[in-house]
Amino acid sequence: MMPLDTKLVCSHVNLITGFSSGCGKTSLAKAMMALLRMEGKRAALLTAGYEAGRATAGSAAANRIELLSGEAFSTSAASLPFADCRPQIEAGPFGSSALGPIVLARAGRSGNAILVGPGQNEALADASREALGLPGIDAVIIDGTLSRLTQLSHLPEALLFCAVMADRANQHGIARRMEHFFRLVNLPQWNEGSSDRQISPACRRIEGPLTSAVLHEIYAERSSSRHKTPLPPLVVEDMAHVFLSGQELEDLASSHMLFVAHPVRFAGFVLTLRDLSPEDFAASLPSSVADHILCGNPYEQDACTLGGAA
Amino acid sequence: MRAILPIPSHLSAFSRAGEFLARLEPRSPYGKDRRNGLGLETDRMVLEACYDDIEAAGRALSDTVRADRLLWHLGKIPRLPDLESGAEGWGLLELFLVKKFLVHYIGLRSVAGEETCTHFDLQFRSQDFYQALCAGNADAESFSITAQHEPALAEVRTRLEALVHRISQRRREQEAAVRALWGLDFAGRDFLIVPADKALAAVESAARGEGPLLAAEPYDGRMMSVRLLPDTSMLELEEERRRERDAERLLEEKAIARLAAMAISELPNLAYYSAALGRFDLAIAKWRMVRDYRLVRPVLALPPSGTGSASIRICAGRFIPLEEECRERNTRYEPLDFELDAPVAILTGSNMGGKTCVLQTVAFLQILAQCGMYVPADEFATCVFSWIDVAGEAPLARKRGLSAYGFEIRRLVEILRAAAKGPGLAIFDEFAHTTSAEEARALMQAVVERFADAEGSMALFATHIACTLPTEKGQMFRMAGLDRERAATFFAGSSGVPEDLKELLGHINALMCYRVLPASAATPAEGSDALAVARLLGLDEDIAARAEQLLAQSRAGTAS
Repeated sequence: MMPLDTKLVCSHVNLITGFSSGCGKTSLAKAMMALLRMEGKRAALLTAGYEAGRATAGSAAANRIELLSGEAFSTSAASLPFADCRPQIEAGPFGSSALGPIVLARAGRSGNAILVGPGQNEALADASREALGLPGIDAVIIDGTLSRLTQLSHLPEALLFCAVMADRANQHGIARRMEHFFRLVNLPQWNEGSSDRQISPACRRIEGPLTSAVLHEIYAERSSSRHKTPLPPLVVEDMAHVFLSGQELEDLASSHMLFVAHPVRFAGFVLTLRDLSPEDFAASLPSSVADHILCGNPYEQDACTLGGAA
Repeated sequence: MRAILPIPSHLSAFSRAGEFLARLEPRSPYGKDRRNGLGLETDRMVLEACYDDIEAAGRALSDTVRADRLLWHLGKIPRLPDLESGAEGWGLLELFLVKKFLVHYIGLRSVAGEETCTHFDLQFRSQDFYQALCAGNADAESFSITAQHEPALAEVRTRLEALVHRISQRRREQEAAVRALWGLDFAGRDFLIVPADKALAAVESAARGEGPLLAAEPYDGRMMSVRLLPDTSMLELEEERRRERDAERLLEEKAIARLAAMAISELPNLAYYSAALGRFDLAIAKWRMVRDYRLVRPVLALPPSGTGSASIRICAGRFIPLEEECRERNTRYEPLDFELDAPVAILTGSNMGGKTCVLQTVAFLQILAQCGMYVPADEFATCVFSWIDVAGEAPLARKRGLSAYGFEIRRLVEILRAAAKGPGLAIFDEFAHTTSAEEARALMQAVVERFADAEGSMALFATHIACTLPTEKGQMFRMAGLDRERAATFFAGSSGVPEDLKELLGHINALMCYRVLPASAATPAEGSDALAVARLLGLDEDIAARAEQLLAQSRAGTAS
C-alpha cells in the first residue's frame, strides 16, 4: 500500500465517499488537510448538506473543524459569526441548507468554523468549481459525496476516494461491497463507438436510477416484443444512479451492456482495519480490487506515512 | 401604468418566438429577470428606445477587449438581497453581496465608457457607502469585517493573533517532545493509531511527568488511539482566546450594524443601479443575437388611427427556427418577401406549399419587433399593434375539453373581443377546416367581412376556402407552389417513392416554390395540388387516379 500523496490530491476536487456513517470519511478529509499542511499547501474543505438534527447555527460541535489561515471552507451564512477563524466570504451563496444559504469562506487566521454544505447537487458542484479557482487553494476536499456525485462527476478535476472500515465481523460483507463499488467506478463511458453498431445501433438512456425493477421492465419489454432484437446497451447518468444487486451488476458489466454518461476518476480505497491485517483482508478480495487499495488508515503511524514520497 | 402584454402560450407555440427569445443570454440576474419578463410592448416610442439600446450596446461591444471585460463584469454581478425588506437585519452575507455588486457595477461603468453610461443611465452615487464596505478588504471579491470598520478590533485581533500563535507554538512543542521521547509522530493529525504496548509505554511515561500529557483508548485488539492532552498553560491560553473572541464578536456585530444602517439610505440607489444594469445587460444580450443571426432594426410606422389601415412589408424575412431545420435536413429555405397594406389578406395555394410558414414568419417577426428585438430580415416595416393573436392549430383543445373546431371558435371569440378594443393583428391558419365545407365557407366570409371593417386591425388567413373580399379592403395571395410538370415526371424511371421521410421531404422541397404571389399573377388560378402532393407522398396510384377522374368529372359538371 502506498501512502497518501499530495501529488495525487493537489489540483483536484477530491470526493470522499464511504459505505456508511462512521467509516472514516471525515477522518480521511482531515488527514488530507494535514497532509497538505505539512507541505505548506492549503485546501478548501466542503461538505454536502447538513444533518438536520444538529441544525443550529452556533452549536454544532460535531461539524466544527480546525482551519489554518488561508484555508477555505463551506459554511452557512448564519454560522459565520460563530467561526473563530476570522472568516472572510469569498463566494456565494450556493444553494441552501437547513442552516440557510451556503457561502464559501476563507480563514483569516487559525481557528475553528462550522462545516455546512449545500443540499443541492448543482450548488455543491458550483461551490467546488469556485473553491478550486480561489487564489492560494491547492485542492478541494469534499466530505461525504456519493449521493451528490451527479454534477460533481462532470467536473474534470473530480477524483473519488472511498473510505472503508472493516473488522472481523463485517470483513466479508465489506469485501463484497468493495467489489460491487469497484464494478460501478469501472463502468465504461458511453460514446457512439461503444457498441458494435451492426448488432445494436442505439443505446437506451435510463433517465433516473437504474433499479432492479427498471431492469426487469426492460427485460420484460424485450421478451414481449415481436422483434426479438438484442438488448441495447444501457446508459445511466453516472455510477450513483445504479442500484442493482451484485449479480445483476456483474451480469451487465461482464457482458459490456452497462455504460455511464459521466464516469468519475477513482483514486482508490482508503482502508481502516480493526483486528485485521491488511494481508488477511486483501485475501478476501479479488486481486483487481485489492490492487486499488490506495493506503491504510492515515492515522496509523506505521502503516501510512503522511507526506511520504509516493 | 402601461403594461407589457405577455405572449399567450398558443401564440408563442405557433410563432416559435418564445423559443427564439429564450436564446437571449444575459449574464446578470437582472438581465435574466428582464429577459424573463419580455412581452408585447404596445408603445412605439418605448420600442424605438429598446432598438436604440441595442444600437448603443453594439457600440459598447465594438471593441473585442472591452466586450470581454464588460461580459466578465456582468457575469460576476450577484443578486442583491431583497431590497424591499429593508437592510435592518443584514449580516455578513448581505454586505458581501452588496459589495460584490458594487465592485462589478463600478468596474462595468469604467469599462463601458461615458457614452454608454449616459445612454443606459449607469449612474453611481454611493461612493461613501462603497468605500465603507471596502475598508480594509484588500481583495475586491471577498468581504470581512476589518479593523477599519471598527478600530477597536485592531487591538483585540492583535491579541488574538498572538494567542493563536502561542497555542500553535505550544502544540508544535508538544508534538516535537512526543516525537523525541516516544517516537510518536502526529504530523498535524488529531490522534494516532499505534500498537498498544507503544501507546501504554508513552502514556505511563507521560503520567510520570516525563513529557506532555497523553490520553489513550483501545482501538482494536492490538492497537490504541493516542491523543495529546492540553496542559495547564494550554488551557489558560484557550480560555484567554475564548474571552478575546467574545470581545471580537461584539465589535464585529457593532460594525455590521453600522454598515447595515448606512445601507438603509442606499436602498433606492441600489434599486436604481440594478434596474439600469438589467436594461444594459439585456441590450447586450440582444446585440449578440443581432450579430449571430444577422438581425435588422424594424421600421415602425405610426399607429393606424381613424380609417387608416395598417401595413406590413417584409423583405427576405427569415423564420429562423424553420431556416435552421431546413439547414439540418439539408433542404432549401426560401426567405419571405411579402407586402400587405389592406385590413384583410387571404393566402391560398398548394398543400405543403408553405402557407402556414408564411403566417408563422409574419407572427415571428411581429412578435420579435414588439418585444423590442431586431428581426431576421433585410427589411421589416410594420406598425405597432395593441394585440396579436392566432387561431389555428389546436394542441391545447383536448386539455380544455374542446374539439378542434370548438377551440377555434373560442379563439375567434377572444380575437373579436380584442379587435373591438383596439387595432391588432389576427392570424387564421386553416380556419374552420374541420367543419362542413358549406358552413365553413359561410363562416369564413362573415369573419372576413368583419375584419374588413375593423379599423386599424389586420387579419391574415391561410385557407383553401374560397371567399369574396370586400372591394379595396383585402388582398388575395397564393403560394407559387408545386412545379406540376416536374412533379409529374419526377418519379418516372425511378424506383418509386422513397421510404425515408427525410428523403421524401427533400424531394417535395425541391419541387415546391415557396414564394408568395398576388393571386391574379398566380398560375394556375386555383387548386391546392392536393392530389399531386398526395402522389408525391406515396398515395396508392389507383386511389390517386380515381380521385383525379372524379375531380375532372366534378369540374366538367360545374363548368357545364
